[in-house]
Amino acid sequence: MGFAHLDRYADRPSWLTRRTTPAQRLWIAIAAAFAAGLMPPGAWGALVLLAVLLALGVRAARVPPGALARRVAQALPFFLLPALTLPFTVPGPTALEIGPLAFSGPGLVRAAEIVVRATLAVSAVSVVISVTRAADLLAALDGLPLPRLVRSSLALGYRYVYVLSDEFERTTRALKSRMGHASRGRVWRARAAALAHLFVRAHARGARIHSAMLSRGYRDHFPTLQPARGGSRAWSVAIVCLFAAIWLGGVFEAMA
Amino acid sequence: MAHIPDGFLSAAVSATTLVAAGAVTAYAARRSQKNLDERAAPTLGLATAAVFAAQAVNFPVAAGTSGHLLGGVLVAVLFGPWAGYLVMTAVLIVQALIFADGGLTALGANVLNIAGIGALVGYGIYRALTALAGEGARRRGLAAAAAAYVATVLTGVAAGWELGLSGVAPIRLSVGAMAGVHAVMGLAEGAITGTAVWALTRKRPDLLYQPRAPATGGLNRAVVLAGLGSLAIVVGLLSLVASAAPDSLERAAIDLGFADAATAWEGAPFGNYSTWLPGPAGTAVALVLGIALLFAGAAATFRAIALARGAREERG
Amino acid sequence: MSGASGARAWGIGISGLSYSYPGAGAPALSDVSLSLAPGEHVAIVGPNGAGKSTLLLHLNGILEPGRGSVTIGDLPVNHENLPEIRSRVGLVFQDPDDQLFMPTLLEDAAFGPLCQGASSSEAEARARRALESVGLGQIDARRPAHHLSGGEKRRAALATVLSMEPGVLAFDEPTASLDGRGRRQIAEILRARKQTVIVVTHDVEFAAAVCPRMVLLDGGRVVVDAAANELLSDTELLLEHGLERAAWLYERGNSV
Repeated sequence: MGFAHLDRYADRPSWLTRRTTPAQRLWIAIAAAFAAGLMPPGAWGALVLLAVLLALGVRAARVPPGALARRVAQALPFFLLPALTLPFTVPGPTALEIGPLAFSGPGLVRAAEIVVRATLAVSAVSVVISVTRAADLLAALDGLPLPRLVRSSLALGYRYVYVLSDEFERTTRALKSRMGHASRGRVWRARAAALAHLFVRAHARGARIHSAMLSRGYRDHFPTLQPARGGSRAWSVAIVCLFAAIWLGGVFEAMA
Repeated sequence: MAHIPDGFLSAAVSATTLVAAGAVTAYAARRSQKNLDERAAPTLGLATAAVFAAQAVNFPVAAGTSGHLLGGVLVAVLFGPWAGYLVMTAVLIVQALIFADGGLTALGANVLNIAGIGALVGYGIYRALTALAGEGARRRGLAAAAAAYVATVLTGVAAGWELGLSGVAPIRLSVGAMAGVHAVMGLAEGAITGTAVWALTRKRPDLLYQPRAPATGGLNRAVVLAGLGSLAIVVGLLSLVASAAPDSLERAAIDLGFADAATAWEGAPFGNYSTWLPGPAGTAVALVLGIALLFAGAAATFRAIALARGAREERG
Repeated sequence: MSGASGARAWGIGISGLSYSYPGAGAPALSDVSLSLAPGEHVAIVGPNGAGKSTLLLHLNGILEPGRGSVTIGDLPVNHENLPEIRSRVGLVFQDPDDQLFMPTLLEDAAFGPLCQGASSSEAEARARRALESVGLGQIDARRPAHHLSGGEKRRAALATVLSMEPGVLAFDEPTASLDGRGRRQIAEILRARKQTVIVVTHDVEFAAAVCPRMVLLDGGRVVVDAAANELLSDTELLLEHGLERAAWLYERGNSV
């Protein structure tokens, strides 16, 4: 996994970015992901409604549909593979037989539902992530109920993954150039040594950063600037409520 | 595979695991802040960056698939269980938000499965093994490898159990399938973690997490605590399974030829919650009680190990 | 140079300072005494391991003296005075990546002021002024330091302490891994400082270019404290203490 796709569409003005701050957008993404991800089985009407809303969202955010499709395709194996086992594991009458494979009817339906729910949830998060700068997203996380230490770890993790990756790559390259035609066992050990070295470097850098922080008056908490103001609170609340309403509708639809 | 995506968990399971994970995370933050003081932020931040950098490298698993390091046991051995838990939590948040690896609705479950079982339970296994086997580089490496393997399999079991509870597939099937997949994945996790800990112990043993000198208390209390702890874990697990699928244990018992014994499980403490508390509420109560029991059991066992060490050092 | 406008310069008094790292044999500093007038620019030169960086870390209390004392202006460096001392002394570390630890440049430059207790808007204003004063006013301050060149990173690191409006600036190897242009830019910025400046380096020519006074440190002791030009022309002394001028490389190359 790489971090190259971050910030690509972050600076495009759009309906969504004009009306919402990164923090508000994050809440919208969470609401959409929960509405889609937790839709009860059988609520097809609500799922269709969500899909329409999401298509509108893609337009409002001006994310190229192709780029979005690529991002969803990258995430596809994460949920497609486990879903594909369901037609064989969920008990029920066989709906389809291909050679020796017997697909259970309820299993097929459940797998399809899961794939739709996951696709919608992943797309909703992707849209918001791709129009928000990583740094703004980190600042927006201040609005979530996360412990301070988790937030500072996310901020420092984002800043130093680049620095440490560069160092890690140099170490592994140096190791590779020395290994030649070494046996598998030795290659494995060299790789683990590089990993150990990565953590040694991280530790040393952590100590140096600690000094640099102290010398600028750091005591025990990681101060942050006030996040960007603006946006429209009314719009954001309305959109979040809309997702909640669709989810509730789905719950009733499933019960009916 | 270890990460549960969006769309798989039911609302009840998602909400309960989120609340439970939130509580553990708040506690872990307090413990880490206390242990590391104002060094906590830079230390954990750089550990998070290192895990990201390590995960960017894929290693081959089997049959042409590849996976990346989970890293829970490795960070716990280096930074301590609570700090390791927080680092893994931060990593899981980024994976869910930016890489769609693991869903937002499953974040609570994934934090419990990967950070909780990886860093907390995995570290407990590692500590227990090093207490038994000794602390040389090779022994520490082997202990870390075994802990990483077992923790990975348990991660799979927990994920399978949550999936079954959500009604995705019958619980026995989902637990079996997930445990099977993770039994293979765990081999690579164990090998990498073990070799890395071995290399670290040889080069920089000073970097490994040193638990504080335990309070004195005596061996007897340690034995009692260990007993109570394991009992809580066993009862927690059993009642969870029993409550999640009241008849699955019975069926398993019949399969195994213990039909008579099966009736005894009806009396398991929380065995019938889901039958007299309808639907999601019953599941939620069962989950909370089960998780509470598991963590209480783990905490008691940790404490017992610390006490036993203290007693040993006092004598020696 | 508006970032420096509000700052005053502090004198520095170091007397009988000794320090040993825990577990190390020889002391890193032994009986170092030095005094700097407010606004004076002094270079501390010496070979690797001479104790130069250790001395810097005592200036704002990252290390506590084993023996002896350090005063900044009228304040001794001790535990009670740490917050005030740290806003009086700005330390610029050797690796700018250690000093630029926040997700964006703006947050990096605002970190010090926020720790000093400035409001979010005031911290942001001071951060922007400081970035401007080192010639980074044009750069997008909402991006991470990862995108900067080596020279830009070093100037950004300086901005993170200038925003705290310190009366003393202390630099650890400010020219390490910089190209010619980067060195020139740093030299110009240093010369223009009205604050008290301490530059620690083994680059004697750079030191002489920015500081009229030079102190040679070796083995944790002050060997010479003299005018820069005087020290620069004492070839034997410099050679004896592991220092050299670039020009000698050519002379020696010809003679071999």
